[in-house]
Amino acid sequence: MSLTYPLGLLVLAAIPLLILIYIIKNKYTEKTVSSTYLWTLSEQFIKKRMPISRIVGILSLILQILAIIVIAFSISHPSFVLPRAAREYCFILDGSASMTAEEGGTTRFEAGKDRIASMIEDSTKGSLYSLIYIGKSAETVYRGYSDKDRALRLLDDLEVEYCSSTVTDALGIAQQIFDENPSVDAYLVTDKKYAQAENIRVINVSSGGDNFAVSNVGYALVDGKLNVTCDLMTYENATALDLELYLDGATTATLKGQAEVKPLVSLPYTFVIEGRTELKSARVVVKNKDIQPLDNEAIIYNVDYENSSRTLLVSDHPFYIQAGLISTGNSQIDVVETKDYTDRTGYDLYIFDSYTPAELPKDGAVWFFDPRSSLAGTNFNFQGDTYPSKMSEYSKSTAHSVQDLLAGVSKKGFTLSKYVKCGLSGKFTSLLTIDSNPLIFAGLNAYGNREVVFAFDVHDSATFTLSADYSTLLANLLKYSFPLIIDGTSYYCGETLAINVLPGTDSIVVKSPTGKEHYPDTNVDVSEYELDEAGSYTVTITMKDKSVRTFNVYASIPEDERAPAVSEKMLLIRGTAQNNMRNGIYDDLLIFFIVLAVVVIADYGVYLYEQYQLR
Amino acid sequence: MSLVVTEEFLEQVERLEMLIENNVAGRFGGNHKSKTFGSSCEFADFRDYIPGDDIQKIDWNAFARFKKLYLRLYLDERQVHTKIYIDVSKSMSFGRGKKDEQAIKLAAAFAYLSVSQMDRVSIYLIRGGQVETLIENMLGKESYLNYIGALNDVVFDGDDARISEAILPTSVGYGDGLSIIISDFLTDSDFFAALDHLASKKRDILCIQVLSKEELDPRVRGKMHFFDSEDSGKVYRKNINKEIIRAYMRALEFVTNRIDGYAHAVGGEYALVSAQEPLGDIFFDKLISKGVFK
Repeated sequence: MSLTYPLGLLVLAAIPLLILIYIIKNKYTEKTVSSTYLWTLSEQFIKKRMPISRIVGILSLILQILAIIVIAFSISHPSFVLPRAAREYCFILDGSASMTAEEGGTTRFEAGKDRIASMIEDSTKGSLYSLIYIGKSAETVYRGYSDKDRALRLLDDLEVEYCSSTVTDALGIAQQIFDENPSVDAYLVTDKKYAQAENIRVINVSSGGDNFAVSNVGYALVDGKLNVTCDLMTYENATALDLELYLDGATTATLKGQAEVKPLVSLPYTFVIEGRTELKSARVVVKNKDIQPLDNEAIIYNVDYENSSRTLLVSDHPFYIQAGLISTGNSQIDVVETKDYTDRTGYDLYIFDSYTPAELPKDGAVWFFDPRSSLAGTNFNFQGDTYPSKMSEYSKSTAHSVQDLLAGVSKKGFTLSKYVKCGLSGKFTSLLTIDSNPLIFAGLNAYGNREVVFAFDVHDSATFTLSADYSTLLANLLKYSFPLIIDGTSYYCGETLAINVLPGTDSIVVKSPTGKEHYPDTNVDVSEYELDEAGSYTVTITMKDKSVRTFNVYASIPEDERAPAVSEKMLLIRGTAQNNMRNGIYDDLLIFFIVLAVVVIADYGVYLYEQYQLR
Repeated sequence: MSLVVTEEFLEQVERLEMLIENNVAGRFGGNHKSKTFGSSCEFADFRDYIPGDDIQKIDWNAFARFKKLYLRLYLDERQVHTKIYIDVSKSMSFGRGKKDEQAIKLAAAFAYLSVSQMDRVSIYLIRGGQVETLIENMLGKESYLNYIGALNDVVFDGDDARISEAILPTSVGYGDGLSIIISDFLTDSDFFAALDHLASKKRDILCIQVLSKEELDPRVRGKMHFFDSEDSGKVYRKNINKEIIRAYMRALEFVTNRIDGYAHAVGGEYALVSAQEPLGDIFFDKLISKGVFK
């Protein structure tokens, strides 16, 4: 036996003190009575006492001394060495998406945690515990812990991650632990099956219930028809799957279908919807119940719709500009004549053709064609109509910004009868110049919004407006003005969602399928967010002018996590296992506290006996 | 000790006397008839005439019928002399027991009951081995009211009451009444000789043992060192526990049985009363209901 806190035995010093107090306190009380006759006479009637009854008189003292001894030992925290009774354990816990499958009312992940917790609790004190968690990557949660409670607490804190798992790195960590102690008991707790394992035991928490999946949802709008395609799969038994299709969040259409699916054979399935020309989202749901509901639905969002923008064209002769924009796929264009224009808001792009408004719009990009006067905030000033002496020239700069904006443009100059001479006060990229003056330039205005200026009247040069360069340039400038906020809407768990941060963005909120909110950084050009849950995410972007844009993306669980198959890969920890057990420790103080409780109760019993039973 | 014999107490005793008179025929309940023949008006018997007898008592009607002289005998009505002995040792007054007050009350009550029957009453104090006369030959209620207040002045400061040593030398009378001894009888001293002596003098005997509540049911517990109030040399040192209390109760039972048994053996009566017990309860529950008063 050893004592963790030997100084606790100092409490034993209280025993002599107790005895002293007992002696002092135990004086006879003197009292004069009318007559001692009866008391003296009573001596003749006292029965002969048993020798043990003499102990009763000091029973309370004995119990109190015993209580002090128990307290001293409790504080000293004695521990007993149990030779070769403890082990070292190394647990690898699979936290991948497939572990979210529910079997018997609990997820495989929780069942796995329970199995590990049970082994830790049942192990002899003095054992060592290491826990390797396989989530997005393998990580050591703890290594060589001897504190059971702490080990259990950290185990309990672990949460499943909706991603693919790789056991290789975890085995590497386990190999290091095994190399240090070949007697370690290594366990892999997973729902995946392994053909063979060496120096590691697999605890499979899967019971193999029905599991269906739908994936790869796609769509095509062709000739007024909408085709929604998906792949169906069953991983256990041939099943007739009941399907439902929800379009645009079921606000416009719900279709039902049924498909006979054979095990482990992917079955393409197509919903055909007549008379449909546009789509916001399509959601395919397998209605059959199974152990893994996460892969029973798949959603695709129309990325173009998600990124679409509204344009206001202020022009008395809008044809060339409107045609050019439509040719780029921008169909949401409102056109007003200059005389009807008043300050407006709510557009992503404002185009002013041969017209300068009284005030610069604040909530969107602004294009000026043939500006007529200077306007505060535009970062350029109107210096009057000018007659050129030469042809216009495209920029020969090799800068990325220029190259991007002139991508696909033939860069053949054209002639103009006149142009608007502009003085630039901000940072602009000149794409086209004439007489060394900027003719087409792009940059930011005072509100941080993107601004493009065509310093000439497009009606003045049919050569340019009827050329392919015109529409190409417009497409590039639209892309510049409306950078895609999200690149795609379909992801796998674990992938990163990139959010382009527009000028004037006030905040971005990403809401996960389970309702958790995340606030990506808005001070960067591209903010990233890791999709760590399966399901639909909502990205809400609030601009500084309080306008709000909402995007949806869908993350599905990785395909290899939908139904873990037998892995051909062998689990291997190299080396020769040994069976050298560690010394266990028994330091359970419960017995001391029980003894203490019994002693205290007994002492109280003696007190009550002396005080009341005699009455 | 505060005044015990007060007007209120006397009224209480008077009510008690009336109750007893209405409920009891014998002692304290009516006139006492002597076993001898005397000169009262109440006819008792006939006997043959013997020369020298008072010829006025010859029954001439009987002579006419039987031709023989018969003398008419009448009951002799004599006064009874009640003698009350009070133990005035320290043990009677120590502590909060109020045994002394109870003894005074009992003595006053018995005296009143006696004088109410035109009996003579004497009250004596047993102090150590001597008898002190407190009141002698008190007769009639007027006399009672004049003298009974002396009981208030009794001081209980005597040593261990040696009852036999005190009574034997005194004149206790002969066949003329009741002797009442009021004491706690917590003594090894011989009181049997006194009872024998009174019995031999044809006296009726009543022993009243007065004990305090603490003596009848001791509540003390733990390690105690007792000193005797009458003799500091007498000590008792013990851890008072359940076993000791049991032994004490057996000793108490032994003592009371011993007195009771001996009193009955000599034709007397015995009553154990608590110092806190009301007089009415003592007379009706302890004395009348148990046949001490017949």
